[in-house]
Amino acid sequence: MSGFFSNRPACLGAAITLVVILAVVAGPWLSIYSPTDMDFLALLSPPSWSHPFGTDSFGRDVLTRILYGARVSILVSATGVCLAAILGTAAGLLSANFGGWIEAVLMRAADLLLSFPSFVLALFLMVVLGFSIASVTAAIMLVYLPIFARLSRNMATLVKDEPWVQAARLFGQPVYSILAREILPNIAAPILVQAATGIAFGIIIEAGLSFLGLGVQPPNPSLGSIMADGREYFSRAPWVLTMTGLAISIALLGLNLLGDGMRDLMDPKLRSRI
Amino acid sequence: MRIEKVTLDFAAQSRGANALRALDDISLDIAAGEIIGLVGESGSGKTTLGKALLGMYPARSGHIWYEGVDVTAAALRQRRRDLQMVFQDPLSSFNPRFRIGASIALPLRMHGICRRKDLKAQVGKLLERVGLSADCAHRFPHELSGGQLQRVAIARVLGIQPKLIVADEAVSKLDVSVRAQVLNLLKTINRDIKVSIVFITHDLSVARFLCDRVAVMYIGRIVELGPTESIFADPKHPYTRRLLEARRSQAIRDSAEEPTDLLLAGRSIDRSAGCDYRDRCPVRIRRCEVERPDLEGASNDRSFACFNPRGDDARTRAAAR
Amino acid sequence: MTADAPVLDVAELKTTFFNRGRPAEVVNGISFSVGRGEILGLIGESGSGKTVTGLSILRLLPEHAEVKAKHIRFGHHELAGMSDSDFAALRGTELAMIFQDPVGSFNPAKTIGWNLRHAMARRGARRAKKEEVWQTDPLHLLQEMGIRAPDRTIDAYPHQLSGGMLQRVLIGMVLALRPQLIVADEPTTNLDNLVERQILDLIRHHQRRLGVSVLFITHDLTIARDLCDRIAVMYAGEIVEIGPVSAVLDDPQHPYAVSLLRTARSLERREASLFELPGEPGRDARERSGCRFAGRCPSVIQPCRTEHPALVGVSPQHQARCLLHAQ
Repeated sequence: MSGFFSNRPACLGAAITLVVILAVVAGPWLSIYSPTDMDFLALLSPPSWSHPFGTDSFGRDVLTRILYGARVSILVSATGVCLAAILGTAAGLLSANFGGWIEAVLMRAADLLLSFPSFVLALFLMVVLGFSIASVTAAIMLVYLPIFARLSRNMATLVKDEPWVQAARLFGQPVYSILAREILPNIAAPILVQAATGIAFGIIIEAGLSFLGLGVQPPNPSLGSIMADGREYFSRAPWVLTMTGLAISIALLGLNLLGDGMRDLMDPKLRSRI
Repeated sequence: MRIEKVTLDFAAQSRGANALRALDDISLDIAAGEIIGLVGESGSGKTTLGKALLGMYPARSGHIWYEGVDVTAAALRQRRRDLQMVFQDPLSSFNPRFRIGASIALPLRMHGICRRKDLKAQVGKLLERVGLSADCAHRFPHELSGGQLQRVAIARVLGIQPKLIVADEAVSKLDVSVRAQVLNLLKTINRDIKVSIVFITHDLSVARFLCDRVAVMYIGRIVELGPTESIFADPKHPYTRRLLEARRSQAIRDSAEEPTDLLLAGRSIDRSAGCDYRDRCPVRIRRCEVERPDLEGASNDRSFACFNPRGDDARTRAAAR
Repeated sequence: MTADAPVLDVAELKTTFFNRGRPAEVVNGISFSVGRGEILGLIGESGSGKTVTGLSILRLLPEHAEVKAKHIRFGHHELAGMSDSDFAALRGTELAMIFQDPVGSFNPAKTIGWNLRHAMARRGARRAKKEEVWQTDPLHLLQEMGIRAPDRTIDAYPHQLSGGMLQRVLIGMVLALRPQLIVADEPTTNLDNLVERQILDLIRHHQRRLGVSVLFITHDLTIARDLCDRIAVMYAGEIVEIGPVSAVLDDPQHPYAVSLLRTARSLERREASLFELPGEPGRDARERSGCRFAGRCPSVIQPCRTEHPALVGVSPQHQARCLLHAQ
């Protein structure tokens, strides 16, 4: 762990992510405004003391809307990615361990999903499921499911023939125990890294879908819909789009740096011999 | 539990597209409490045979029986704990994420050998039995040396009281002085609890110290089999003699590469007819080119696969002494 | 031993690794030399520092390692302060190396033939005289190294050869340019006994023919006996005994060397149980004041625990680091 703290970018990433999470969790409680409060006297007003990020075309406080929207985005992305991680890893472990037709079916299904560009896949699912927070979550989950399945299957294949796993089989250890105790902890690292970067990209997917009006529906805030709004009025009130975009960028930066840092941490650990 | 008969009749298998026949027509009985060595170079099939004994491979033809049950059958599950293995690389035989105490305790718990509250004490006893201190249990695998870890591996296997242990080059990766510790330990265990040991190695000297009987293997077949001292005193098969020659401190007769090197390199060798060893054999006769010798015994416990065992070659006989 | 200056003369080589700022000494000021045409064996078990010694001389240690020496003389060159570029010109040509796993010395994407020609051309260009090069034809070279079908091997890729074959090719590649010194680090440890025996014979045969000096690092005393002219036994970062091979192996003076020999002998003679030295080297051996072997020494006496012994001469060529001989 001490290695982590010497890695500056990773620490920065962790710090940013932490701030973002805090802001998103605590911010909405602390904010004086509600995201739907409209102040008709202050439509599209630039950043000021009372509205640090300005207001939008309905007079709603942009900062508050960003905080609520970010909450939704992060929640949706994290949930989708975590579900994908759990189900995908399970699929990957089963494929690696049993091989045969199980592996063939699961991996070909994964390949099928992967052959679609992620956004297109998400769009498709929205059309099928309708527009709602749940369907966005499902879309993100579907995009990441094959990624985790492939990753865990490849890593598990490497590990499953290691002597300690063979020994476990010889001892008569049941299959679920072998998967959970012998294999999973030793492949967890790259999966976690993938989850971190996955959540980052998931935010983009969610924002993109909402931007197109397919995700979270108004008046509920979502980073994407705020940006859609801000785009319309960009020449008059650039701050709406800009601040939202900046917020997304910062959150992504934090998550990516964190993910990279975790990956660096895992790597040298593997070569600790002299 | 008197005798343990593990019979391998004609166990041959093909793997992959090239149909590399790893084991070819092997028959062997292993008695309870005996230490038998499988000696050969890489590619001889010794490791494959060892793993096959434990039911890790499905045999293409032939059977391997343990106490009357086919080792690849599901019925073996109840006796799973009787057949165990010690691996060549001690470090990778333990899950790196768990402390070794936990790794030893898990099979104990699984087979219900002792109750939860007795586990810690039992683990400590096992560690002491193999010459380590009980507080090694708190360490992680990478914190111990190769020799210590191999002893932990033996402790772990002992915990579930097996009847047969396959030691796959268990000392090959260890330094010479540590090797002595582990070899002594194996010998002691065999004496104390009468567990059979199948000791796989390429080093004849080690086999000589440890094993009661030796099976010399060459490209998937057993070419000589018998009590250790008898084989050392009077090796019948030319390959055995060559292996013995390699131990001595004199220049070996032919330092060009062996056919086994080619095998390992993935090239096929011509095994159509005749003895596999004929290309390198110093005492080859005409019969060797067309007929393949079977493992046959002059006396009951000594057998070899050669048409010309008393080959007229003074040098090999001198080297075998 | 010839009266010529030695090919390699190392004085007080000290190597320290820095683990997050904390120093860990691996080699503690050892001194030895390798004569012309001689094979010096560096014997030790894991953790003795023998491999690090070789890597220190070859400058192949990672960045957090620090190598210091009074001098490291190689022929006319002084390696200790040499610039990296000058050293790079020497290493691989005059100062060659063979490692335990030959795979790393080959470009895996190119055939053996390419690897051989590339090595010979790149390094051959640095040689002025033609006599300095031993072999120019790869096919012939492989044949000399005992490879039966050199034409097939030439066209094969490294991953298509067995470990033994690759090692033969590597040794051939190294010998082809007649280096002055070869540092061989456990080149046969991964190989089966039969192949090992063959390769050792090859090394000895060609070494004698070409007059190459070898620093042979191994943990196996039997190999040392067969191959080496002189040996140095290492324990916990120090040389504890050094001398001609017959002197050290027939009449070892340091208790560690004695016990290594007893273990090897008991294996050869099929004794009822092998001779065992209790315990393991352990990391704290190096931190101890006094003799580093004191914790396991069967002949330990009281002064051993406090006084650190120096190398003393048992006979003119044969020295041991033990208080029992410090009279």
